[in-house]
Amino acid sequence: MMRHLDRLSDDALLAAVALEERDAVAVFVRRFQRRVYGLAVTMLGDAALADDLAQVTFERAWRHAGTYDARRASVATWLLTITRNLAIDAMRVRRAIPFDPDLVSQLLPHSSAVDPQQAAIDADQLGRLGVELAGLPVEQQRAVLLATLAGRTASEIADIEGIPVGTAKTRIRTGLRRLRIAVAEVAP
Amino acid sequence: MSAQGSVGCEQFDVHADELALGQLDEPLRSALLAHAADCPHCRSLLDSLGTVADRLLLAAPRVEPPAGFETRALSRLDMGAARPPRRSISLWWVAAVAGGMVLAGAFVAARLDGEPKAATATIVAAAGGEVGSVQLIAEPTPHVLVTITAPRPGPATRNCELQRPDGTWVQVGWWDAADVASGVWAVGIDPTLLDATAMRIVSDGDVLATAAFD
Repeated sequence: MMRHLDRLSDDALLAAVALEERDAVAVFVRRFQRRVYGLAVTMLGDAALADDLAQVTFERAWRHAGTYDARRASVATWLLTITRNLAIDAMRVRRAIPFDPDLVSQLLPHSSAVDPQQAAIDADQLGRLGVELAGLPVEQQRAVLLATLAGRTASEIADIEGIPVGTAKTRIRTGLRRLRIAVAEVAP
Repeated sequence: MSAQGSVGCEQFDVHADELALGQLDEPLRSALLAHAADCPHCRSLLDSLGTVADRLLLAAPRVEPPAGFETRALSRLDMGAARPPRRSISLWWVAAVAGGMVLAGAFVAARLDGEPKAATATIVAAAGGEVGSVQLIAEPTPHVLVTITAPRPGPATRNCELQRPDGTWVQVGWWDAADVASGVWAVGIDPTLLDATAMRIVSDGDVLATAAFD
């Protein structure tokens, strides 16, 4: 049974989770735990809190697997959106989360010249969006990724980058709106 | 474009990025969302920015969680409260593809490629003509998958029945035509029904379509 489940597409696996197939839930958790935990710890900067939040994410996914709509997003995007929303709620309650200065460089798209393997993975995941992201000025990349992947507000980004809040807002706005065009051409 | 309450398109545009990122607090958030509900232009802007923000999450670093995470996550599900009640039948979407019934069928067929299939048959309308296909699938759990590629008008509620080898018919589920916009419907079945010889779609006692498994 598990061997068959391992071969299922993400969509089919989530459908099996919706059917309350116990083994499917285990495979689902195993398949996505690194991504979910990775986003949680990136946003929260706290391993214990991220562990708990990742567990809650899978609980939410299990409860709402039947509502997943493949027209709107991939399973991975759907799951990470749940993670992001939970993390934002947690951050509201627990402000002043310390920021790891090395985080920004970890979030930036990988250069194919420096790390071709990871750059290929990025390209596979993000498609055209990844290409557009890599084409943004570095300061816009940093602002957009801090706002999306690290859940930082413009005010927090201004502190991190040592720039006025208005400049941080402009970088986020300009970057996101350039990426809009790419998304319009990329399927979920 | 239109204004809603105290928010207009210009103000919406100023805050749209933070709104899409989930970083705005009340009451501004609700005021902006109310405006977007009435303004197609701003709603489109918000949708596209939200899509960017969501899809960028795929670029998040992958990090191995602490040891024992999988066990803890599964234990949490065991201990957790029951799921919300499902419909009278375990109806679920295998996939839904905007743009047409045929596309949806092809998509699902591709997604399920590689899964062991017990049987496949063509669905023929009572008035004649192929309308889709039906599959009995054993893994990951026994289920019947109905793909309607040429929908016909008719009553809203459709019952799906399978025929056992002894000739008796068993209702396995139902759907509302309005719900199945993708043309794809599936339901879990008893494993003994994987030996079914036929499927029929019935509404108000009338047989709308049938399929015979080889």
